[in-house]
Amino acid sequence: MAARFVYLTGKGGCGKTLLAELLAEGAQRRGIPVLRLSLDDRDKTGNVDGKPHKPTPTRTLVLDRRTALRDLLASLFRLGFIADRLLDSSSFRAVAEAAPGVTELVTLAWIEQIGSRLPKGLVVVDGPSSGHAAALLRSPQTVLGLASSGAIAGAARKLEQLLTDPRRFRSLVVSTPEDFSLNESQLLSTELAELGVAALPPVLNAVYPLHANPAQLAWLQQAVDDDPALLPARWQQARAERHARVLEQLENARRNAIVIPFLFGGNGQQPGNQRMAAAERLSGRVLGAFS
Amino acid sequence: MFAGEGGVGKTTLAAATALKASLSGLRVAVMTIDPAPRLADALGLDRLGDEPQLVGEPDSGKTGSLHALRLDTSGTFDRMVDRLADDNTVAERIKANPVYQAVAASTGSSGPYMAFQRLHELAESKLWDLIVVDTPPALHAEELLSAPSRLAALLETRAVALLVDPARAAAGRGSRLARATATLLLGMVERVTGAALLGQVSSFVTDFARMMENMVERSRDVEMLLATPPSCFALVGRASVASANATLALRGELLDRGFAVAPIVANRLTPSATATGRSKINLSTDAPPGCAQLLERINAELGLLRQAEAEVTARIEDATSTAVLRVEDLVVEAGSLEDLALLGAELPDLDDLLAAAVRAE
Repeated sequence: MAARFVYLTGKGGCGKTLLAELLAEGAQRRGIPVLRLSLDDRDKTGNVDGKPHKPTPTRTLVLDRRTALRDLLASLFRLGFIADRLLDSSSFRAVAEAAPGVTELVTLAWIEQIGSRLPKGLVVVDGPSSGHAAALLRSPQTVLGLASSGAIAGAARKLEQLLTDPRRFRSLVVSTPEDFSLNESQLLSTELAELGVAALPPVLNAVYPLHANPAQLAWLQQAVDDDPALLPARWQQARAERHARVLEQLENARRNAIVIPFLFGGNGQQPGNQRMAAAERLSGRVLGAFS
Repeated sequence: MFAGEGGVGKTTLAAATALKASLSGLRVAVMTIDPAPRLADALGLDRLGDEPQLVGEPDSGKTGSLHALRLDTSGTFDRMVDRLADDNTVAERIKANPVYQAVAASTGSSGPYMAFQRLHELAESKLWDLIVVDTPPALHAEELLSAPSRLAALLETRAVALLVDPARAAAGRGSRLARATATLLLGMVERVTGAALLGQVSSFVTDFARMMENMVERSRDVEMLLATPPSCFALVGRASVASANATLALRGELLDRGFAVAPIVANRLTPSATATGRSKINLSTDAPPGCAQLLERINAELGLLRQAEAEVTARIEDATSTAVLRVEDLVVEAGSLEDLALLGAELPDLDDLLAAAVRAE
């Protein structure tokens, strides 16, 4: 069986990286070989001072654009030395950086060739945020629209086949209830669907627990006027209530979302059991959707 | 220049800062890239356009004013082609070229260039005392800030000559071996890209090369303007490890490039009760059952949130030796000018912000 790919995307700050980690951890615990790919050459899972919090339990590869470009060129020309010669040329590098779709195609080719090294495995791609996500997945089409012959067209066609094979490639759209909008997430899913990329159920991340019952909420709302010290508590429950409404909205729209609760304790110090439960739930739903 | 990752509330803070400055008597233009509908609402503009629109009611008694606009990448690109092309035929030919269309449509690759072009137009008009920019969501700030030099690099390389007139470019180079290599390479490239693409790129570059000189010049002007006081970058992030890392990396890049940076804003912090003067809660007698336990539970969670945020902000302060500006979350999202003014009250005055900006030594 060939490797399966999950391509995570969503607005900045929606917790993509945490979810990519959770998905990788969950799948690994199920005995599946996993690689997490980061497209950000400044992977953000470390500390402010540059040291990682703790060794990540799953293997992570970070995209190095130059090496990825060299690998793609070498496979196109079938000769490494030509790739090296081209990369030595500043003219070539300038054109490769400025030409539309090239950086994106190089990134996709890198993702694809890593999958070929991981049969039966799961490749978790921590993708770029919404605005860039579709551009990346559209690049084979962009390139095919401009060049219909030549080796690069062949490479683009091969990548397009991967992206449009639901048994091998799926997108996972992540949002927080804070900036979730049914229309917007529908728009992104539609955009990806138009590219022929199959979607996994949407993920709603960092959902706050609603502790107050309606009577308590009503009281909290009123009591704040007399006691401003209640403001943070009301803020917290008002937020949880908004989140509950988003969940309801999703249910009404019959969107079968994957709900991940907010993990308190931040900064990579989430209690192990909560983290494990979230990893379990996410990987179960994702792997289930593939089969 | 407001910079930071997506989703940190950068656009809202930029708008609040612009509004605050306009209320203090400045003529302000705020350029956002892709405002959420609610912000366009807050500014009282149904749909922000590419031209600055007056926000609020015109009032003859006021000296200050606030205008807002939205960067239209492909519109700015088309306008520039129209203005700079030798004649209409060339302009139309460029705009019809599939390579041009792909470049113009991809905000990822042309957004940074066009932000600089639009900024140049705004600065040149001399209509504004303050221009507030909500920077485009570039994958890295690097992409935005290196735009002028990348453009110049492209122009200076032989790639352009090679594409415009491959035979001459190859022939013009030193030894016979070098010439042979160049011809061979070009053949190789053509085999990979197909003849059609190379032709279209070549035609685009031929028409575009002269325009690019002008583009580079304008981008350099803007770069200079941004590096000259009192221009400065305001960095916005959330108080999470991932966001702080990204913000600090961005700060380093900006300082390396010679720009001034204001203290980092940690936005959307968990509200604290201490601001209201009291933290002790007295449960009134009309409280429904279970409220004491409820508050205990919520406050424990709030405590965890605040503690995690405090750790991160303290680390940022350690790393930068500068105090972080803490902005608590608005209970309601900014949906009106009043909300923006309320948020503005939490922010330092423009002069103080500019005075606190630092540069690399």
